[in-house]
Amino acid sequence: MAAQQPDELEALRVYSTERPPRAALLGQPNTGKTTLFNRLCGSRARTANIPGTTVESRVGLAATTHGVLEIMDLPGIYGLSLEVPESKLCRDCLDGRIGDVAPDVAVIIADATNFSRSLRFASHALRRKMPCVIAITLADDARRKGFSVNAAALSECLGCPVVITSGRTGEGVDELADAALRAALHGISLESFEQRLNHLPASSVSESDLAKWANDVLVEVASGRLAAASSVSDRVDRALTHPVSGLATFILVMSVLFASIFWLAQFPMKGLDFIFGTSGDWLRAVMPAGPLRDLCVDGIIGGVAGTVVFLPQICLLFFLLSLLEDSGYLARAAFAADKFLRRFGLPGQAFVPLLSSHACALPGIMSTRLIPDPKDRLATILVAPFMSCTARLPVYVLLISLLFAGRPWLAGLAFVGCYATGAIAGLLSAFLVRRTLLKGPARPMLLEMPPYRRPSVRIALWVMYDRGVLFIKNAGSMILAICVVMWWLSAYPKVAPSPELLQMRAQTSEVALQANANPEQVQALESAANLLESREQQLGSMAGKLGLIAEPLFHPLGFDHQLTVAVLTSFLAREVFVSTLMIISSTDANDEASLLDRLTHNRRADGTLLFTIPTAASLLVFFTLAMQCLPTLALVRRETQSWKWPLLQFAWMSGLAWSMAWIVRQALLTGGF
Amino acid sequence: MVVIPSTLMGDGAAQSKRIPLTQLARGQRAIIDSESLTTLAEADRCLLRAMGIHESCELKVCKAGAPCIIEVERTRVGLCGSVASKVFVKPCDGCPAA
Ligand SMILES: Nc1nc2c(ncn2[C@@H]2O[C@H](COP(=O)(O)OP(=O)(O)O)[C@@H](O)[C@H]2O)c(=O)[nH]1
Ligand SMILES: [Mg+2]
Repeated sequence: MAAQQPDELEALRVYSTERPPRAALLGQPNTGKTTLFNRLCGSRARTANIPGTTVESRVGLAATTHGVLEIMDLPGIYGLSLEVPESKLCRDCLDGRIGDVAPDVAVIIADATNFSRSLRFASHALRRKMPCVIAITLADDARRKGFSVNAAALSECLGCPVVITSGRTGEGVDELADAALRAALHGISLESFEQRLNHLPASSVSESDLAKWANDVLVEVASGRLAAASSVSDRVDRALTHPVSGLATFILVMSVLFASIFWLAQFPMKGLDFIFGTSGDWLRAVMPAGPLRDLCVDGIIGGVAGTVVFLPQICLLFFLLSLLEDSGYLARAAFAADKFLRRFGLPGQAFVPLLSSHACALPGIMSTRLIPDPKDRLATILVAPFMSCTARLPVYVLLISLLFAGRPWLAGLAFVGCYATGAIAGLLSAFLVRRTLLKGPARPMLLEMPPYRRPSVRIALWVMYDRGVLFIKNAGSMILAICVVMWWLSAYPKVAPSPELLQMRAQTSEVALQANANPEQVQALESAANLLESREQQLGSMAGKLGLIAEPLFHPLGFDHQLTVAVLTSFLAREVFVSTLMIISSTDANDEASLLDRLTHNRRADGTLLFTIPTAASLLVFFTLAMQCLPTLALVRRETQSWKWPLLQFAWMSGLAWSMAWIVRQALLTGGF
Repeated sequence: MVVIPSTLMGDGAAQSKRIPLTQLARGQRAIIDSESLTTLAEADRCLLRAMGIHESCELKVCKAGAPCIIEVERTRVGLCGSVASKVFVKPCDGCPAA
């Protein structure tokens, strides 16, 4: 390393009072960029959207012996001059058109295991008039395969500093940070830039001549030779693209992925539920009764619980996705799914987000980050909530058992029908939106199949943590606010107990005071009184009044005032619907059978049955298609950076749900049910 | 202009028929025809080139049909049928099949 120049120290002093110099990592996908970034910055990094875009990048600080360097991990691109959104974004970023300042140095990533292609990429990037440093990544992997690069010789060839690194072993990472800082501080003179251009092939050179140039450079600076591709990779790929074994693997991998978020995640979710339940009980016991206690226990603790309940699914999904992506399988899965999904205007990469949405739309929507094209990604986000999530499940169970009591075959069929209806509606909506609002040529699949590599659990854990924090930071506050507002709407204003309730309470204490009181009977009376109180409170609250206003809207579907309130409150989260129905029908919460029984015989004020077959069926269709989930709406707002898309999505889904529900009800009514 | 040697080998007048990529069998090697990428949309052509799939480069088929997977140097790329059917290649009999 050269001794520090006085002017360099001066420059450092200026920088240290303002901001640290910024380096941008620029490279092709799957070249070890993110792994290198994590090595450089460790925990001093955060993930954020690039200002004004929905594309995210990581920004972090790297400590060098000469000071601090800010590093930005740009999205992987195949070429800087391509007309795809990611490449445009990188160009804008390098020019300082987006973000607060332009980077001071470009760190160009060159994958040692795909060296010739990396050299071609670098030759384009080096044509920009800005300080550049070349980082050769995956050096350990290449060396193991008998290939190594002479950094000094390459530096001579390209006219810019070259550092050999490995994100896995940490080799050369400190030197890279030093070299980047040095280059940033030195800046670039016209003279040295022209010198650099002299080393590079002309910009007009044809692709095959460029390949020839890259091969010449390779011969000059590298020793050893990499075989075309490993035979192991070849054999694995042969098995994985085979019509039978390939499909079997695909189904197996996706089932494991799905099972882990559908089934495995319920254990940590129950754990969280328990923790919040106990802390709520504890707070209830220690605080004096009153509105403040209600706010703390039901509003805030309930709201926090309603937010973090999504974390297990999000964390598990991203942990597994990181392993799958790192291993190289995810690209193969997208390849396999592409042909089918393309018919609906969606890319192969949409498969995993849509599958995950069957567990919960939130992790599904978050995982659309895997889709490179912005239009493809937006279309996937818009239709993801159509997939039947776990929160819809209890509603399905309840309504289907109501409709098909004693006919298990039909009930099973109806279940499949609900899931299929959601998926089909989603795919058809995608088809529609890609031909109207998100028109434009679809980007055909040209998907690199990265080599199979051993995935890193460390990186996966890091991704999981990063996603969890990001969810809480971005969407958490909004979801919490929604929960508190919804709680407030259904808890206020307080209604005075009705004479009926007062009488019931008096009767309860009377029975309890009797010498030969039956504790079971007392408890039954007490819970009946509690349910009546909840019911009165619910109908008298703001939510109840809103239900009164909205009732005419739902009247054609056969919903009465109480049912409308239930539908409205279920916006918070669909699972609330079932508990609301319990309150409406005054059933004890632990007794599903009696709930069913009561619902079947529940009558409106005018004596007609509430749950006739047409009403129950229209309710079921409504829940299958409607976007009854405010947290999803909040997340879509976050991910698309605008209110336009979530509102549009909400209007479309609700409109479709209402119309389909109406059609089903009318058809059944005409059919004489 | 420097020509990759294998082009010369495959360039015998009789054996070099232009066929779309989708008609190659697995393991077969071929050379991309020098005119063939011009029928593709500009954006796709540029992306393919940036991925290393350019005129007169040699490729190997890893998964045949549409969609297909091809290997060029150390890069494997999956192409959908609509693109692959527009990429014309000359099978090179001189190159040993895998
Ligand atoms: N052996 C080895 N593997 C690496 C190294 N850097 C990255 N990888 C692996 O290469 C793959 C792609 O890495 P990633 O950092 O995600 O690349 P990116 O797409 O450019 O951000 C992953 O499977 C990594 O585990 C390295 O230095 N050595
Ligand atoms: Mg990355």
